[in-house]
Amino acid sequence: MGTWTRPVRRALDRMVDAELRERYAALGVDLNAYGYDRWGASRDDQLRSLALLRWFHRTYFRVEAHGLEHVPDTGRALLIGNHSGQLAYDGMLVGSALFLDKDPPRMARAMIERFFIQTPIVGTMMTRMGQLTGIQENAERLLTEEEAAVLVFPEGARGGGRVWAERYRVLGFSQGFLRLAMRTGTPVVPFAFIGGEEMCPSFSRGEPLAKLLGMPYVPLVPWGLPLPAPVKVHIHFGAPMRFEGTGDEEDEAVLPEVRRVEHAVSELIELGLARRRGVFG
Amino acid sequence: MSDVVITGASGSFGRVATRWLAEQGHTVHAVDLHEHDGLRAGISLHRFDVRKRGFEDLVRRVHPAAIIHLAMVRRFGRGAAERHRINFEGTAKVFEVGRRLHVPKMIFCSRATVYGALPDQPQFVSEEHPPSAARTFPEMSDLVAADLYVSQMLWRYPEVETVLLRPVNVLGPTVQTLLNRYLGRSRVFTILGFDPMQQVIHEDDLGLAFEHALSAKVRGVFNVTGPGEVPLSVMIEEAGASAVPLPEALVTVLRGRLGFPHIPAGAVDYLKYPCTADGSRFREETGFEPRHGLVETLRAIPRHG
Repeated sequence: MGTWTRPVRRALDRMVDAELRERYAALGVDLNAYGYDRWGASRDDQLRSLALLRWFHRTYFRVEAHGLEHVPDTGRALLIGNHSGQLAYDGMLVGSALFLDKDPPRMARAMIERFFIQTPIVGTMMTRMGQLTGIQENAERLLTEEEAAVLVFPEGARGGGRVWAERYRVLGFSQGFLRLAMRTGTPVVPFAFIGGEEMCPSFSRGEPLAKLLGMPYVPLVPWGLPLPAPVKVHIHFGAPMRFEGTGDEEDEAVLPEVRRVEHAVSELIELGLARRRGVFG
Repeated sequence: MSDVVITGASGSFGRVATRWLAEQGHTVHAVDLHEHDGLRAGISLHRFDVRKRGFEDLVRRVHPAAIIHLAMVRRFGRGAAERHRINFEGTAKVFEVGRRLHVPKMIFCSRATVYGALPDQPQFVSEEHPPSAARTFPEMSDLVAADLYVSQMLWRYPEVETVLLRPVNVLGPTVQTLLNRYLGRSRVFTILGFDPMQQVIHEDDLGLAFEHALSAKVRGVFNVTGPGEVPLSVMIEEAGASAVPLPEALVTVLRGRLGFPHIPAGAVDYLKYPCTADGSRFREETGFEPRHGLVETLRAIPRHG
């Protein structure tokens, strides 16, 4: 971006080492002469953000990813999980888990709420990091033309802005991802993100204020800003699920399948909660 | 090779088409109200309005294999009524003449910008997507109307090979578009916090696209894309200009004041969101492949810096 970010970029560049470079090269991203892919992701910005994210991943959140073998090494995949944490920390950490902990590494392409993409600076940063506006056509193109791993939180902003009383409960998935999986023959890999509810709990969506500001929600976090606490994060991936169909079926045919995925995510959440020793442990 | 009538031949796209197709050996009949000194020897410029009798007489006389209609006004300074008369009614007239006089191929050059730069749009817009530019940019409505008018000729007159091209940003030493003028300044303003992806195509590759549209047996609507996409900031840098990021609210106030270019409010969206298209259909159906690479295309604008 602008010249005012140059010192930050330089500092982050110094954190980029061989591990990150080798893993990035293994992703096989199709970059042009300027180091951008066609969606607007930048190699340099991705490496910088991964350098920062690696510290959060290993030191701050001590992320443990379980069942990474369920994420296919190559080929299209839809990663579907529970959303929490107010500011998509979960999406970033699923991304870093696939990049840092999986062999061979994969890039997760997250479908982002349009509000964030429209926000100055934030939208540009997310684009440079390889994330996209959550529109069916974008996801479909990634899956069919690039055999990508696409990350979707089908609870959307309801999950992102969830409040404490709703913690670790699947709030109902929208059906778009399932129709997409049917239409494109993409396996769905369910996952549970454990720790997101405690890292940034909220007690209200601040609906009147959010409406006034044109935002999806305004979280009421005990420590004011929606910054994450250093809780321990576990991510549990489940076995891939396959669905037959064209994607144009009636709701009656699609909804039971959506419930199956919700159920799979709920089971992984239960497993994850049962296995963890404590919020920080 | 064949006889081709090109309307708007003195305009920047018209010159590209005239030069390119004449070099390929076509007999070009250039039509434009305005004189233009760069015409190749041997090309006759017919100075009349496409809506007048002379145009029809010319088509009747030369029996062209194709008409390439490029006579469009794009400057927003011209009044809405005049733009509508030339862009919409002029296009309708040219297509009416072509159909009545049995011209087998009719090519119209619209722009990918008719899709609009909107945040809720797919990143690579396909030809089926509605041209939605007028939602936030009402000054574009005559261009959108002309585009849609030509696309309905496809089902109305299946015997005519109608080709509607929607090229992305054309860069080059001779073309004069809003974008080329913008990039031609030494300091250009951008919208703080936004840096949308842009697609570019070299003006010679636009000429090549006309050639493919003309020689391939195709009809339909086609996005025409070049060698790839880059952020606006890279485009500005390669043009040799320096970007001055300003808050959007300030740009809205400064438009047309203190030496700022007078651009319509809706044009600002193109500095915020991508308006990028999927050009695979044209490549698959005509075999078109741009010859100029990304770096070469971006550096094709005369540098001012």
